[in-house]
Amino acid sequence: MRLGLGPKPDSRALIGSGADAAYDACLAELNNPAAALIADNDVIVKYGPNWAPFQGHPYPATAANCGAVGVNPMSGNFNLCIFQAEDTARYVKYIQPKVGFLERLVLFWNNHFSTSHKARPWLGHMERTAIRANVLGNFGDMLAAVVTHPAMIAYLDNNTSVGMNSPLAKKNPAFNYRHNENLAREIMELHTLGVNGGYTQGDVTSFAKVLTGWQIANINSTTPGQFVYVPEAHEPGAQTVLGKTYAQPDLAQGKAVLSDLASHPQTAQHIATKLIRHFITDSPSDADVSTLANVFVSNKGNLFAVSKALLELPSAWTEPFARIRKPYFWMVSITRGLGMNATQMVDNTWRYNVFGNYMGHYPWSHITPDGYPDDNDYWMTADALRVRNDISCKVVSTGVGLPRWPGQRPAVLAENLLGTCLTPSLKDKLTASRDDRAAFPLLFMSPEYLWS
Amino acid sequence: MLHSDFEHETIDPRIQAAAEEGCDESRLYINRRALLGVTASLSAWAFLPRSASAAGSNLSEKRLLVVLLQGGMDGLHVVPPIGDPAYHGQRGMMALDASKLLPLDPSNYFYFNASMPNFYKAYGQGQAAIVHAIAPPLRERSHFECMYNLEAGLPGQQVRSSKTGWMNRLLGHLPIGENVMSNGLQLGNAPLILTGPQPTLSWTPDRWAASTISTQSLYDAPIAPGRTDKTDPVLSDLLSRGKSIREMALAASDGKPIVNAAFHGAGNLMKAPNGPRISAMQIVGFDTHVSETGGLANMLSSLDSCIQDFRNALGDDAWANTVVACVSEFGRTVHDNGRNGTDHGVGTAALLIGGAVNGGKVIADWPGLAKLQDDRDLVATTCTRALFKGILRDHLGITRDVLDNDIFPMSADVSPMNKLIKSA
Repeated sequence: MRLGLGPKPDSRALIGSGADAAYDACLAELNNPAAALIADNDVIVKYGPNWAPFQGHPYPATAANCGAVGVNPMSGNFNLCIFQAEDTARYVKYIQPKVGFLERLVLFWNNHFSTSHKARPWLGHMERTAIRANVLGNFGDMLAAVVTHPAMIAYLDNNTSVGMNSPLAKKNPAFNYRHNENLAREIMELHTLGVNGGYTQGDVTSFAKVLTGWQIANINSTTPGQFVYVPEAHEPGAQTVLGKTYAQPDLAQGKAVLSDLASHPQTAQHIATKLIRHFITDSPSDADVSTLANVFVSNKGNLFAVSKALLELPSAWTEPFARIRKPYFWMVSITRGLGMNATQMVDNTWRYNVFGNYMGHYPWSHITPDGYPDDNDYWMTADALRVRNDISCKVVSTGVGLPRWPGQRPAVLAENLLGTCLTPSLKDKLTASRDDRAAFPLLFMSPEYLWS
Repeated sequence: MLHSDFEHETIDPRIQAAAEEGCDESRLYINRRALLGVTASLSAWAFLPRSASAAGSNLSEKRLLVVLLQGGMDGLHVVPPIGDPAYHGQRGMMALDASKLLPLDPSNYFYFNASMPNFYKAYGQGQAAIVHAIAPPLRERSHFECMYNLEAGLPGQQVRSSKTGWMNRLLGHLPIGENVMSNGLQLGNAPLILTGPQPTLSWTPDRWAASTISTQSLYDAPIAPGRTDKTDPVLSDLLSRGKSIREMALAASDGKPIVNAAFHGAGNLMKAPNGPRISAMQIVGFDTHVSETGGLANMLSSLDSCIQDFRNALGDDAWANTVVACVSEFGRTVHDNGRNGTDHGVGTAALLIGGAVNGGKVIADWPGLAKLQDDRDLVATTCTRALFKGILRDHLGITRDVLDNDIFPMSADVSPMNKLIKSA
């Protein structure tokens, strides 16, 4: 459960019980990166106000459609409709894999490049086209795809970043155009080097100037709401970032800085530490960090190699289960445990959204760009466990997950899911219970389900 | 969408209606509001201070609530220095008109944003004060670094060198009385400001009527036949404490938006005879890079109603011994950024309210707007540590030596602010 999304009915049998069975199952997911992809046509926005471009008909969440909604002030609640359709598409993915390691990696990067509601309607599109498409590809490609996505441009306010010496600023002095440092700062602080990564305020300012003109096309453009480079808004001239001078013209200047940041040794260190903290322990050993960072560097940011190296860290398999499973992953593990099918997942997505927000953990809902922390202390509290108790009961009382799985009884399901990990006390309680409404919460609030 | 099995509607229906008509501003508001609800839970010290609990009526015990306004609140928009001759020129499109503001001093120098009527009323009653041109010592304009610095209570150059927050270090110097909640302690899940070796507890408002089913019996059951040890004593202890905390906070908060319910519950808990006395809350959403005029008005209005809900739940007697300090990690650029917004800056305003506050005044060593920090930001002439030190010394009786060396290490050069507290 540490590396995945929790067992499904019969998944233990499918994975097998050999010494390397779990490793092999995770590796098999890494060998099929296409499984992470979600196509535009799999995200169908089904309802919304009668707005001319769509006239209330279902439409796929293509870049063009998301963009049209994103920049049109008349689009009303369409961005919420897109968000819900995007959110739903993930729940269908969550129930498919045997382990869910690949989906967990997607969620890790989603949190690494944290965005929130402010970037609707592009949030899901960014995850699909920038993160899922590169989840086992190259980190530099993922970084470039994220930074040139309208979601991140909107979220970190780069759309209003205009060089003070740009043609646009010169033409309209009354508008007081200037660069906005938000995106440049967070790329360095959060996405690449890390907060102690050796950059200065001067580097942030220079990088912000480099990124001027990286915008979202306006409503009158041929590609409204999509990424566009606007040369008139770009600060002219060379900029020096981290001691290196970038004299490239236009978009090439920023691409060059991003490429250097992506392959910086400090970035490797930062990513390695975050991966281990996310998946294994609050206190990564120096040896583990340097193992993973070295793989990152020697493979030039290849994330298949990095993810495989993470899987092969002995600590991934030997570290005691001493941290509480994060709420969102726990909630997904319930849906998998109950053997829910795609239709049920789709129908209940709105509930999962309510549950996740109640627990304070939901993709695209952390308002600050640093994403959710991995510290166990942050998640393991008396109040949070009480909230989970309420949610586990709510799942059952609303009939969200009463199993349609053959076998029905909680004790049988628990044995199927947990196998030899099932503690005798839980088995006894489940067997003795005559009331499934009281038994299912026991299963999902069990130590087996809560520790990771 | 009818989500009828959830009893609590989390969004004001009027805002929801406006949003469905396509008002951009209100959609922004909904998002912030929804997120507010998630983060506005209470974190508190798990002990009563002994000197206080021995004093007889619990209502006479000193209380302190620190509210972290995350995102960098634009102090110049909340408390505009209209009397500063450079104000209109430097402020650009963000300049406000005095006719839409509330006066704060006889000389009509500082005005107050009209979105916080309850705070303004308390100011008139001498129960609220404003400290202007204030910032934490780290002047880096990064949310995470500056909020870290504010919560850690360290000098500006001590980046990331502490794992504890200054409020937690404060707790180590208060005489330990009875346990809050009487049944055990818990570490963690506090914001950094309350993180550290002193135990804390936390509480999140309910979203629906709580279930009567409990998984407690599983954790308490013998782990296997013939054994006496519990299946999971850690989870058992956690869950039972979580349930107790909730019971204390419940009461008369039905129907309130979640963020208001959080403050209401905080008032209930801090009023209770065995409830917490030293607490912190966080509100997110002050990062007004765009749409600042409407967005900040909504945030301030929400904050104002939250403080009022806290005050109502606390009751007059406990309120008389309470200080609520609302502080932000930095201010914002003096000039607008060209998009009805402002970027990360330095100096901002802090808001103090409570019956124990020696209020009715704006306290500022005003730097003026003619000369700005780095040609862009309000100079911060007061350090947040000076504000906290003044409160801790005069409200909680902490000595200067402890303030200078432990709670705020290496801060002997920062004098506590005087006359913030009534009795002092």
